Amino acid sequence: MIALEDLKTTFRLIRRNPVSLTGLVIVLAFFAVGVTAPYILPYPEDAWGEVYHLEKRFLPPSLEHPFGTDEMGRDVFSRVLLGARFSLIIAVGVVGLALLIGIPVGLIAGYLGGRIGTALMRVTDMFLAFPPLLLAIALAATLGRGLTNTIIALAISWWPWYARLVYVQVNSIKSLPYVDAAKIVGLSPLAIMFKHVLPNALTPVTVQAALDMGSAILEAAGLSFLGVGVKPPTPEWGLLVTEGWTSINVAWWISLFPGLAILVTVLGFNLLADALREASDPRLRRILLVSGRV
Amino acid sequence: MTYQGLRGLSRTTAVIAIIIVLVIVGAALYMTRAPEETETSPMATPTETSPSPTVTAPAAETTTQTVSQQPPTTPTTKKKTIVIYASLSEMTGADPSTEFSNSILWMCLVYEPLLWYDPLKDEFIPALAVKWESNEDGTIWTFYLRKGVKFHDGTPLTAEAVKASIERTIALGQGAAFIWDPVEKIEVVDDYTIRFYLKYPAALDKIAASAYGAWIFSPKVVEYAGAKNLTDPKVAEWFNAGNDAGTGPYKLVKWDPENEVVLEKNPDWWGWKLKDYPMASPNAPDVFIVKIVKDAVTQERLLLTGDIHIAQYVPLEDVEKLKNNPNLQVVIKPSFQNLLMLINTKKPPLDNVLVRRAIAHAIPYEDIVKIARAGLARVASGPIPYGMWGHFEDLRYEYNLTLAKELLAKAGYPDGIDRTLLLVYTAGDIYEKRTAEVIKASLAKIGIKVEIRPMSWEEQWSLAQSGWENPEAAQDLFIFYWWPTYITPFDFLYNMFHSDSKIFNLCYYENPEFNKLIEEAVTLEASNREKALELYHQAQKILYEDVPAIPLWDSVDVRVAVKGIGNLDKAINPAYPTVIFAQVLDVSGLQQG
Repeated sequence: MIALEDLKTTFRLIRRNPVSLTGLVIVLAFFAVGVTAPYILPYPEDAWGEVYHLEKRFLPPSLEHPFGTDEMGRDVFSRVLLGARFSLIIAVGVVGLALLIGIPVGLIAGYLGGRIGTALMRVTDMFLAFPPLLLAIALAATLGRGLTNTIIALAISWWPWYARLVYVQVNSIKSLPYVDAAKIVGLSPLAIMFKHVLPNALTPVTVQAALDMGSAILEAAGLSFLGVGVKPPTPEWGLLVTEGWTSINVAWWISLFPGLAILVTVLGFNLLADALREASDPRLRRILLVSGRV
Repeated sequence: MTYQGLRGLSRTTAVIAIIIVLVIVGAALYMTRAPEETETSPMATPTETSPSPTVTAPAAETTTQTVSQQPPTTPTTKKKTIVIYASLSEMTGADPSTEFSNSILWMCLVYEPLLWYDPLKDEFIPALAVKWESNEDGTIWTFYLRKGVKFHDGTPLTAEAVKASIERTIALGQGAAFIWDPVEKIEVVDDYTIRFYLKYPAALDKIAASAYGAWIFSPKVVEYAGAKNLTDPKVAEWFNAGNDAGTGPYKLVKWDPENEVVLEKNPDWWGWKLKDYPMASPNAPDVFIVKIVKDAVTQERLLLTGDIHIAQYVPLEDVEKLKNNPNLQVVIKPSFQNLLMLINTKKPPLDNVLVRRAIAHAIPYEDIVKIARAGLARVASGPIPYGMWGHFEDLRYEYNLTLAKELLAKAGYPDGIDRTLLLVYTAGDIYEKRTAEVIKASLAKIGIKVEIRPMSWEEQWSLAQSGWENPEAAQDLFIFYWWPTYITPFDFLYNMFHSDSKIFNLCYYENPEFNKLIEEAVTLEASNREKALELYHQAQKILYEDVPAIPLWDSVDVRVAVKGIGNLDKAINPAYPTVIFAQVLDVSGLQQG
């Protein structure tokens, strides 16, 4: 993994750049809200969609309801807050699952090479042949609606990208002298792969994973918007946007705020990923450090 | 997605993000102001419509624009008048014998049945038949045909053609062919007289006025299609290629079922020449275009910008606001579509009638109508919708949680049900979704947990079908629309509740007493209406007590159109859902703006 010293430098680089810092703050806030959401909701029953309030339908944003209320009279603010939790679960779930499949496949294929490597990479190519969102839609439609199915569908369409990424890295690392040295010392291939090759191949994967957290949220929202994602009344952001669509002429706030939430979160992940990329590029880092900008 | 593709995005991402925010805010503000803007300049925002791919239609549309949006100062007497009607759904088939879906929307203008039926006045309007009669018990029916009627190909209408059309429908046995089930034999008495001999008494006048499967077409289609006979699949192919062979006031000139269907006035139609014929107007539009616009919000936008003249659906929340728009008119009519919740009567604990009654009393019907339909529906009273014969007002369940809890306790569930019930509805239907959410919230109050699951109609239906074999594996509650093929209470009661109707009786309800009542009632429809009504009432009383299904609301049709469309109210008939009878419209006011 990235060494402690590296992390410190990375953080220093991020802190000096306001754009990167914004990204970091957004992402941290998103994680914080996602974890604590169920305990900080102003109207928990509204958020879970367990009640309706006939007399409070379509109220515009106010102090009592900062994001207004929806067609069932539910507080949109509470629903958006709780939505962060589902988006977090999706982001972590999709990326985590995709890494779990993608890294070992890429690592084994890259390190062992030969027939096993070719076979593994051809399977990967088969998945890559489909446009990822299209594959995800097809899978989600087949598996049926639901949070778990959405995560599985997206992860299945994503892992090949990680496999490729790791494969390419491992291929260049495995011919380095220290790997040869490890072989001569008599370490088992597994130990070499996971202890000595993998850590050095992870940098681009980390960047990509951070970036994909945002994309996962966006695509899960897209699936819900198309009606193949999570089930109502779960307050997933994409679903909230859809729900507001028919009433957009009388109540624009129902769609706008969850839409903004998606936008800000995805933006945050993008900025952060970019900062990580800059920080992990040795040449760029040296230039930044030497030029005194840090 | 690719790693390379994302290098160096940070600054641009930020800029793009800010632009998106501005666009969204701008759009939101624009939405709230739109109606006022359109008052001054209906065509001021042509770009607003372009993002929607479903509305950009080729060729015919451009001519439309130039004609219908002429400035008022230059009257265009020679130009054709055009009315554009936006349909929410794609058109389906074009074969008049088998069509049992959306395509009746234009078929009602191109083809004619023997009779039209106005269910609100309970009267018939003669179409291809001018006179008809039956014997005492309704087993022999004679129709006298209109003389001088020609099909669009010039072939004269004769009794032979009527016989051939109906026999093709029966022989193919698809779509709504079942409506002719009572018919034993069709006899051509002379060129303009046709007689039906029935196996059992039935209201053949109503059957002949059905919106599905009762169209008369030219027997020459065999020739045109190069087929051996009428039932040759080549005939169906010929129809589905976009050809018509009807007698109606409009001809099919463009058939693009996914985008638009263009109809042109048939100048030789017999109805234009008759004085005082209720189904014709001297100022009917020359061209009637059905344009597919699959979204209610988009339909409203197009209506406000003047790109369509009549919207099939607008978001119901907006209706109040649209009523106040001086450029628009809103017509609200009863529709014979209703929404019911079918209960799986074979799966515990719902096999217990007390549990079903408890559920019936725990549903806030008024709230559902207000939330799901913005008040634009009527709380149902029995499975037969309001306005139709056979509807009775004494079949409503009272919303009473105390009573519901008592019933549940009596059934042996004082603390509620320990199982989560599965409620399925059709994904994408916003009214069903809201209804489902209100039901979930209300049943929670008497201790019944409900999981609501949106499914595609095919999935939903096949899950429900499995219930006859294995009720345990099927859903518990099923939200379901019904509307009649032709106007008879029997259509509702048989399809959803008769134990022989395995396709749509998704309550899995079996009650021989009920079966007997409606079987008897249907044979009395023509000969003894009073008695038939009484039997239908008894049958519905049984349903009320047994609660195999809970009728939720009877729908109303809301059509919004530009002011210049006259007679819109007359052009809508609940017996022919989604249809606008263009021949009765008066568009003389349209060109003057």
